[in-house]
Amino acid sequence: MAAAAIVIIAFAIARSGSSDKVAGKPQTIVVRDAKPVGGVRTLKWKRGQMIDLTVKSDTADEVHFHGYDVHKDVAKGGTVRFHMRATIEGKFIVELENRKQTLANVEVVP
Amino acid sequence: MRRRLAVTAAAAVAAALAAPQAALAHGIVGKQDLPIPRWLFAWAAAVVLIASFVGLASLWPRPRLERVRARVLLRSPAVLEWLCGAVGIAVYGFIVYAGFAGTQTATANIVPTWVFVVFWVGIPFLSLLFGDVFRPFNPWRAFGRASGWVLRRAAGGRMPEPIAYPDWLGRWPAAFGVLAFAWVELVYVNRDDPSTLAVLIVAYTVFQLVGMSLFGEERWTRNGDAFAVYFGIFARLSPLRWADRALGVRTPLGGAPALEPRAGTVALLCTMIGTTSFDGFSNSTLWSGPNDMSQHLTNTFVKLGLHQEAAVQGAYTVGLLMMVALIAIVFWIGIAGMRTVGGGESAPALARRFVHSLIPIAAAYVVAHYFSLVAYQGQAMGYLISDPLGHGANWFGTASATIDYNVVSATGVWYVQVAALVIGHVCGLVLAHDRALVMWSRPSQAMRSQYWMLAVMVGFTSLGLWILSASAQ
Repeated sequence: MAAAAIVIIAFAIARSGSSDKVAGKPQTIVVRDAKPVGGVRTLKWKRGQMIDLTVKSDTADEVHFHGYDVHKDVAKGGTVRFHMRATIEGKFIVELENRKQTLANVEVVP
Repeated sequence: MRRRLAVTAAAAVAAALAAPQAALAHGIVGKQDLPIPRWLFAWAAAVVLIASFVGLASLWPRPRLERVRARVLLRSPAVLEWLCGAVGIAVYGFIVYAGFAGTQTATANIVPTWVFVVFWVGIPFLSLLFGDVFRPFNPWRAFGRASGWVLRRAAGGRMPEPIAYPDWLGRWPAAFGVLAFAWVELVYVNRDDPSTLAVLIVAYTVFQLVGMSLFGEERWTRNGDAFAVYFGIFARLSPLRWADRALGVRTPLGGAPALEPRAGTVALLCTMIGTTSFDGFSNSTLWSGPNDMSQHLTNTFVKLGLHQEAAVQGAYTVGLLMMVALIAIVFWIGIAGMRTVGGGESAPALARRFVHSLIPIAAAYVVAHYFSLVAYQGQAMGYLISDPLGHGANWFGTASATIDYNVVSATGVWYVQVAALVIGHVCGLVLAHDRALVMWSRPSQAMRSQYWMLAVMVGFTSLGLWILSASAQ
């Protein structure tokens, strides 16, 4: 009896979760004074989609997309674009490497 | 003047806002786990609750694990012990050397990955499967035994007797040691710096040598060597037992009831669970998102006059201690409840009687939180052993190896995490039930005492699941 009640509650909770918003579209991060405008956002893609992330920076540094381990130098006032297939699931940070400043969290979900 | 103050204050706030969570995640880790989705969280919690009720109704009426003996499989010669000790000392020496002589880039030097992944997490995994594998290789014990042997030889048998180890001290040095290591791992900003780690390793060695020379190698290692005690506790769950140069097999979990409940053991187990919990919790948005707990605490410390870096460390120290305290409080509530069933034991005595049932919970937390670290970051050893100092060497031809993040999928990691917590939960209940049967002569009394333990275990397992889940992140 109790077990049945637990299963029903679990089922209700499992169903109630609204599916997370998966971006799946191009995203842009603007960096001002070496910080991301609007704070550190979490950007989501589904595995298999194309990640399309552009960083516009007023600060010269190296942008490091962790996990996928792509490094790109950005000039002062310059732009870099990460365009690649989302092949690795997980949570990764995109960072201004030398300033150790996180620009965004990227989540690639199954 | 006022304007300057305002500017300074604004700068402080800006700096505080800029202190990102990533600055406090390991620099050596390139990928973090995705939180477990809500549906899996709900189902896992349901399985835990049902398993608990079914378990309570169908468990055995007589204790089964209290007097487990190991059956000896094979014996090893004494020379093997010396050989393992020598290997332990050689590896230790090399790691310290690499810390000082190697590159100071965390990812290119072998030391951070060795300390935080292979040593701290890898050995518990091995201990759960194969028993106390660390003991023969323990460099501090080997060094203590070797130097003791040399000194006894030199002194011609006129060595002073070691001091009797005080009862009240018990495992407290190990509990503080585990807390200190966790502080370095989770709070200290320079934790990934190879030479800093080497200095800390040497400092720990000095502490161990003093302890061993005062109290004797064996007595000190069993109480005061935080790592030997920590790994040895996990080894008690293993079906393999190494002792007196013999390898034996026993029922899994069979080593746990024999844990001598010396002073400090409850503190040690609560520290083990609490520090691992904080590792997960400190990644949650509740702790390190915008406008969260760590931010408020950091601002408080800045107002008290600490500079930014010290304030962040202060906030994380408070968080770490609060998590350990929370675990201790939940356990004590369960113990206090159990006292109401009768039997006349004091709360501390009851706590010591049941502390071994926390070992599977601690193990489950470690597996759930660190499985992916071992699976992914463990692969870094592939290139680090070829170029341990980061100077461009290629000793084994593997220096250009990389980490394959697809070796386990996110879904695979979720299932391992949930399975670890559920299995740990059931094992904890089994151990507590077995002990209750010894303590209370009437099975009905034993049963009632276990409702309290059940509540504690459900609390810990739910906390573990919640920390891993999307609702916490």
